[in-house]
Amino acid sequence: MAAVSGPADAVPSDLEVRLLRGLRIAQTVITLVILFGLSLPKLLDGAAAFHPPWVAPVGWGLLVAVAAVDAVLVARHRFWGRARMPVALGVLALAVLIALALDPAQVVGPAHVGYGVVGWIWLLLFAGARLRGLVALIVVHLLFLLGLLVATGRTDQLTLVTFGVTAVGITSFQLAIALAGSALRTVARQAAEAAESEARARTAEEVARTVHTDREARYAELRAVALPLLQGIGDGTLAPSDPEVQQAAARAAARLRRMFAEEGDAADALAAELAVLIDIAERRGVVVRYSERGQRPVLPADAAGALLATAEAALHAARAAARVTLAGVAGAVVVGVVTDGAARVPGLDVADVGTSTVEADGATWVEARWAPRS
Amino acid sequence: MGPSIVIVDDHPAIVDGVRAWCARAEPEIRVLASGARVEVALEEPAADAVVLDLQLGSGSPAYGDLARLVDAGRRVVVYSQHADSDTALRCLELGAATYLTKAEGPEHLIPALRAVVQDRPYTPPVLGGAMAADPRPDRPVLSEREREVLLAWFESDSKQLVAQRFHLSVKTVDTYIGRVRIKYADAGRPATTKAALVARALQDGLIDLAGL
Repeated sequence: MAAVSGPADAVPSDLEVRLLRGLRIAQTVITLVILFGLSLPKLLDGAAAFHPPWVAPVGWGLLVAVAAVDAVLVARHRFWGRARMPVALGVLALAVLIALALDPAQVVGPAHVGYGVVGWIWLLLFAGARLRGLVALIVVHLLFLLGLLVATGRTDQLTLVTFGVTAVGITSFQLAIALAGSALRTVARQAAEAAESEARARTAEEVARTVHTDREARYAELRAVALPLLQGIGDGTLAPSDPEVQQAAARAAARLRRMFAEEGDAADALAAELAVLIDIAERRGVVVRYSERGQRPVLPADAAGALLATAEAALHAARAAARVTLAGVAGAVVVGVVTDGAARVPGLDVADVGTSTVEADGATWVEARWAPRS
Repeated sequence: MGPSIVIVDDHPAIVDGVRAWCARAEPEIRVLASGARVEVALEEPAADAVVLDLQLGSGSPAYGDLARLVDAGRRVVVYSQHADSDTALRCLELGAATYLTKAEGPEHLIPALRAVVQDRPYTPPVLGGAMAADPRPDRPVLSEREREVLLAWFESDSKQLVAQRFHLSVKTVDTYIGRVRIKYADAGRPATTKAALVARALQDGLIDLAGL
């Protein structure tokens, strides 16, 4: 059964499978009724019209076998997948063999076992797939039969009219059901999209809650960092002229800005934090060019922190211009900062994070890269 | 006589800026015509290259205009405010000679035009980043070194820095970046401009037939 599991077209969604199931069951019932109720009696009466005569029962048996396999797939909520086209073409070959073995006088007659049935078999095979293949097969089959009539000289009006009437009659039923299936799939897809957007909204709410908790934690951190500083400056125990106090104040201010700037887009916290660092540099008059590329996995908090710390140190050294890049390449996340100053990058000891510094022509390029080994 | 171009952009300020850069270039790049519609370029078949703004008016990106120019055998430098990878890679696929974001214009537009009129590859850093981080399953296959060099070029916007980091010469760095561009020219929809790029790369020894 492995062959039928492969995704040949777009894989149908869960909802699509469930909605299509009723239609597939109906199709299976129709096909089985036609095979046993209409074809079987004709087969018993008309076997003599075939040369050799065993072609009809063997052909009928093979069609029943395909319908049976399909019934099993329907029961298991599965589709034909990669096996669809080979089996469909096999059925076409079978229909051709049946027609060739048939007495030409009977091609539009009741003895023609494959004529009305193969379309239904293809309908089973193409459940959940695009209609193009189905329509093409039905058309090829009808054209072949028409060619056969012409080749055997059976072009009298009665034969052609009978052929036309039966072809249109059978095919229109089959196409109507196929179109219904197609419409059902469209509805299912729209419903699935609606469900997905609802799920996204729920996720966003969840994210907002997490961000709120995180923000409260940061406020607590601020109380620990900024308040003593402000108090110290207020009561005169800390001198604003002291470079260390100035640095501590700059750090606290950076944290404040980061907190206010935070947008709650937790999916790309790294880019948001990087934007804050760029903003801080721009406030110093540094012209920063920023660019990001590629798809990035969410990285562990300590790794993100290490990347940001490196970028912060590098940006700190920028005098007038800096280039900041963020890239996701082959599972790794890379932050690059090029500045016109001499950066001193802190030594880091974080799992899977490496940094490098290159200097040339008065420019310093600092890179921090998170590349998980697994 | 220096090369000649046509500018298709609906912002007069951009047109003036590009004209000024071209006038200052040494040798001078002649601007034969400029305008807000692609017909300006189609009516000047003598121009060696076309600078095309991808956003003409407020509609969707002018991929159709790009395709028309490429089908007419024109070398097109797309000059766009779109900085996303998808747009850049799609333009290459359609047969643009190169793709620059407007932020890269001051440094890269004139060198890009110089390269492009000779059918030589030119990959500005942001386009390089798009190639290095191309997530599409049918992207051209890059070697590890090619990807690293391209990523470094994207990060640093300096071939000196890239060369120093990988202990290579600037010329070798150029070769890596150029080779990747040829791989992209060799993929997707065929176009005469792409063929010219590959042919020139073969003449220059940037690639050999076995590398294709």
